[in-house]
Amino acid sequence: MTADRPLFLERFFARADSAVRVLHAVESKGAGNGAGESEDVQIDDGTIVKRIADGDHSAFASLYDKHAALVYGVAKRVLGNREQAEDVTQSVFLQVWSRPEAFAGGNFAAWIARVARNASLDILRSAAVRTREPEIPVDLPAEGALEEQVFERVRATALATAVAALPEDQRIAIEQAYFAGLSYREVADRLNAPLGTVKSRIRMGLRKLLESLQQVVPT
Amino acid sequence: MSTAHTDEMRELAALYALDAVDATECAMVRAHIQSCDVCRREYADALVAASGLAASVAVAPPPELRAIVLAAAADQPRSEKVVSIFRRKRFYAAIVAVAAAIAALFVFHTPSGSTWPLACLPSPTACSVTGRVVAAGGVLRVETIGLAALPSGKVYQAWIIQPGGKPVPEPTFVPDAGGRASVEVPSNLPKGTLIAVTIEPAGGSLAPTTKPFVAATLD
Repeated sequence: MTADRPLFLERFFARADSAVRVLHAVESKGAGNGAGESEDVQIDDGTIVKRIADGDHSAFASLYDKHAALVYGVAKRVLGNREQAEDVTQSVFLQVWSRPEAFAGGNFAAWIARVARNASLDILRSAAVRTREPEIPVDLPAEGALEEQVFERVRATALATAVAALPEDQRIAIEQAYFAGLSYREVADRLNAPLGTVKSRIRMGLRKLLESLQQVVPT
Repeated sequence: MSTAHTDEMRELAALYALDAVDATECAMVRAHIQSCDVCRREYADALVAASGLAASVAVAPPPELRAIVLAAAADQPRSEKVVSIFRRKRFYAAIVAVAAAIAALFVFHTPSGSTWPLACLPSPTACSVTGRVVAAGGVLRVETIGLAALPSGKVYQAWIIQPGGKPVPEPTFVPDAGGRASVEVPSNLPKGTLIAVTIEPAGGSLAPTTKPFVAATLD
């Protein structure tokens, strides 16, 4: 199932370039693990994963150095538990080591962030009853060059600031959906707010976050 | 099946990027996004915002974790499962969650003639089921491989979930000694329909009592 990626997925990953630039911006800021970062940090992830597939341990160390903060951060935010977040981080990277072919190319940071989030949510909702669909990338339009540049240059510190700057009701609704893994109906129940209101808050918050990310690009 | 563009659909497209829609809406939105440029852009933008959200929580893991992960990888032959390395119970859950998350990211609706792949859905329990849905002789045949034997009083049951609809019960079945099973369900289903499998009490259920663990999207 991982061998032949359909065209729509190739296009999805192409479109997701902007997302990964945001993610890389954080990593380049120095949110790494601070423990002996390897010399391959600047090599693109696709090359590193190929080396991992060949059994290259130094490449694996490079990948860890580049993405551990992202994986751990997402897991910790979702689970709210340091030990569980460490476990998820370990398991995510060991899965990449044992099954590098699971990543078939494209934007590794966006992919691994999603894996970390999904894995964390699965633990969080191990007794959940809601039937959810897996996240399935769909056919997306081609990435705009301007937007790519926007995210290429965005400052990492602006990300947290941009999120924090969202109107509180929008931020809470988005965070409940993304980090708690709730559907908008569940968010509405939890916040005791009308469905339409919650849907609108999430959408408007996402749009505002996107605009904020674009605006923080240094000129 | 594609639905007409509406403001509500556009809103749902943004929510879909956060995995914040319910299963039935998920299929509907996914189908709509493929045919509506406006909603596809909405979804793409929301994905970028979501990546920014993930990146905003990146935080360095404990420094000692790096050595643990690298050592675990060094001790782990590629062909062996990761779970053999750690003994902590919660780590098993993390491993399973990550494997499920990776599987979920590779559930592609990739029509290949009249065949659609089955794939594991995110689940707290391990799933190694593969298979496909095949259109043949005026019916859809759900062919599964790797099904575990169930305890007494339990059976597998197929479900049809049309976009926007409730799960419709289909035949129950049990795998053979090799973990293989095949069951037929009606054809002429709209695009975006999910064919899912759950574990139910013997005799089957009118509505799912457990979370689907494997599914295919007819697209």
